[in-house]
Parts: sequence; C-alpha cells; structure tokens
Amino acid sequence: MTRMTTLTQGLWTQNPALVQLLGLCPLLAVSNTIATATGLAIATLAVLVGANLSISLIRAWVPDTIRLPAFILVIAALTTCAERLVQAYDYNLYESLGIFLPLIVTNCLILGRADALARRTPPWASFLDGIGQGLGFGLALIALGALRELAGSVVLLAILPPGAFIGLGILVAAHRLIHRRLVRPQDPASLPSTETKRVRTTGDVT
Amino acid sequence: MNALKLAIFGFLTSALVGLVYVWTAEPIAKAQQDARDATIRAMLSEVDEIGLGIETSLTDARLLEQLGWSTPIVIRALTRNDAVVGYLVPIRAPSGYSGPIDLILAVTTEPRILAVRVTTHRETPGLGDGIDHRKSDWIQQFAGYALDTHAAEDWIIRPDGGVIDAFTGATITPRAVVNGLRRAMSALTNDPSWPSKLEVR
Repeated sequence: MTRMTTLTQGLWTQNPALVQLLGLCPLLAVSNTIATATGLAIATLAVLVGANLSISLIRAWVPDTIRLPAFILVIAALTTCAERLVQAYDYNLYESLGIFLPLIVTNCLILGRADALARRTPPWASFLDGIGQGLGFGLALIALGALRELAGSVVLLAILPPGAFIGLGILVAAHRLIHRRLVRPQDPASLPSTETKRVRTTGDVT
Repeated sequence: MNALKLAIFGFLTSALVGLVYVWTAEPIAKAQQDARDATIRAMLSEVDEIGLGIETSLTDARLLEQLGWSTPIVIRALTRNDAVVGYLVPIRAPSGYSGPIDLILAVTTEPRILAVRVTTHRETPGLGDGIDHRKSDWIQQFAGYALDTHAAEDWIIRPDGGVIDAFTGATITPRAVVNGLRRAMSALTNDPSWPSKLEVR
C-alpha cells in the first residue's frame, strides 16, 4: 500500500464516518455547530494519530492475549491527556464538548484502527493511516456541523438531534453518488460499501 | 509474564497522565477561576447597582458544613454606595447525579436570594444540565427567594410534592440544587449574626 492510498483511503474510499460508519455517537452529538465539530475533530485526530503511532511502536511487545487491555490503556491515557490540554488551553471548548471529550476513549474508530492495522503495521504507515482516518473522520464531522449550522438558520430541525441523522444520511448519499459518478464511473462493483470490512474486537467470528 | 507486561503498560501510561496533570494543573485552575469570575460578573449585572466589596474567609466548621464544604471558603461582600448589602457565598450541593454541584449564591443581609448560578457540575447533558444558566433559565427563578416569604413547598420540587419544576428524566439534579439552596438559606437565616464569623483576609 503506497503512502498516497493510505491517505486517500481514510479521506475518501474508506472514510470512517461516511463509509465505515464508525464513531457515530460523537459525530451525531457534537455536530450542531462548526466550532464544536472542529474541536472534537482535532482532539479525535490527535488521539487517533498518537494511539496508532504508539501501538505500532509497542506492537512487538504486546502478546495477542493482552492486546485489548493494553490498547485501551494507551487510548485512555492519550484521551485523558487531550482532555486536560483542552481544559487548560480552551476552557469554553471544554465546556461545550462536555462528556464527549472523555468519550473519545470509546470511539470504535480508534480501537478499530489499533486492532485492525497498527498492531501489525510499521510506525510510519500507522502514523499516516492515523492522519488519513483522523482527517476523514474530522472533515466529515465538520461538514456535518457546517451543514447543520447553515440549514439550522432556516429550519430549526437541523440543529435538533434528528437533524444529525438526516444530515448524516444526506452526506452518506452524496458520498456514494459522487463516488459512483465521478471517482469510479465505469466500475460500479467497486463501490466502497461492498469492500468494507467490519472490525471485530469480540467474539469468535469465522 | 503477561500480567507483568500489562502492569508495565499501566505504569507508563499513568506516568504520562501524571505528567500532563501536573503540567496543566495551573492553567486549568486559572481557566476555572476565570470562568467562575465571568459567571459572577454576568450574574451581578442583573442586580441593580451592586458592586464587589472585600474578600473575607469563612472558617466556622458548623456553618461550612451546612453550606456543603469541608474546607474554608472565600466570601465576598456585595456593596451598594459603599455599604455592605449582601454576600457572595459559594455553596456545594453534595448529592448531584454525577457528584457534587457547586453554586455561587448572592444573598442580601436579610437574607434573601439576589441571584444564584451553577459554577461547576457534571450532570448528564440534555437531561440534568438544565440547571446550567447557559442551557436554560431554570436557575433564575430563585431570585427573590427567602425563607420567610416562601413557604416550605416553594423549596421542594414538584415530583416530591412542591412547586419547583423538575426536568423530565432528571429529578435528582434539581432536587440536589433545591435542597442545597434550602439548606444554605436555612443556615444563614437561623444564624443572623453569621457575618460576624467572617475573617478579613
């Protein structure tokens, strides 16, 4: 996998929010304005890149049996650090993100990338993947925030919780439409959703 | 062996969190103080011609306990035309849904509530956070409250048989706030000479 495709995968073909539909809880909850969406996007990007990089660095030392607790430790520590830093340097953002800042720990995108990719990928590639996936998630979050804030000035519903679901639906539809018409017009079989592999972290799936 | 490795990871990650904790402690304390000051300024701007007077500290253990504290607090005098007309009393309602709820209470010397605001809370977003003045104006209804003009049911939430509105899905939060307010106001009302316990800093 080249560096370029690592980035475009996260940004477009395997976009975590629009194709894999991961991390929807913060995506739906914090996307009512561009400002909070941007704040959470940056925090998630930082934790994801940090987690991918550090898990890739320790991958030789972590046996399979303890990998999940070890990954959670790393992710939880990075999230706590991110929360403290936001609280220290942008208190208003900390207040408006509220519970969703510590909840980055439970964003399945981050544990998913750690388990599916970083634990068997060298640091540089893991780092790039973190950037790509983090930016993909963040840009989708900001796009949804922008859409809802703009539409909210006309229809109040866009700011309210149902607006998040409707807005995300519109974005997913737009993503598929653009992908089908412009990116891969001659090859409908390569639609991103058909090649999505769900990350499984529990259970014995054959 | 695995347990040892996991312990080492635990130690390393805790060390990282500890470092960041120490590093950010000072800016966070300052940010919280700034946010609290901004809340107080906004709250007092609703009260006519009120100014901030000297800072005093309260160390009387019994009164502190009734206000919800276990350590001394700073009480600021409120002035109008250079005369002390009230006090800015921090109180803590201990039994919130997710830990204590800190409030700042502006009372007259009578005592009557001039205004009150929640300064720190961790109540559930969308359910209990209506006590926050930035989310709803629920907390503003207590302006003007005093024990002698407002009967017992005025200090009880509706689900418990009183008249104060609670929030759907979150009764514990408004109950904690109302109980904290009532307890603090009773303490100040039953001990009219309480300002004599204040010590100039």
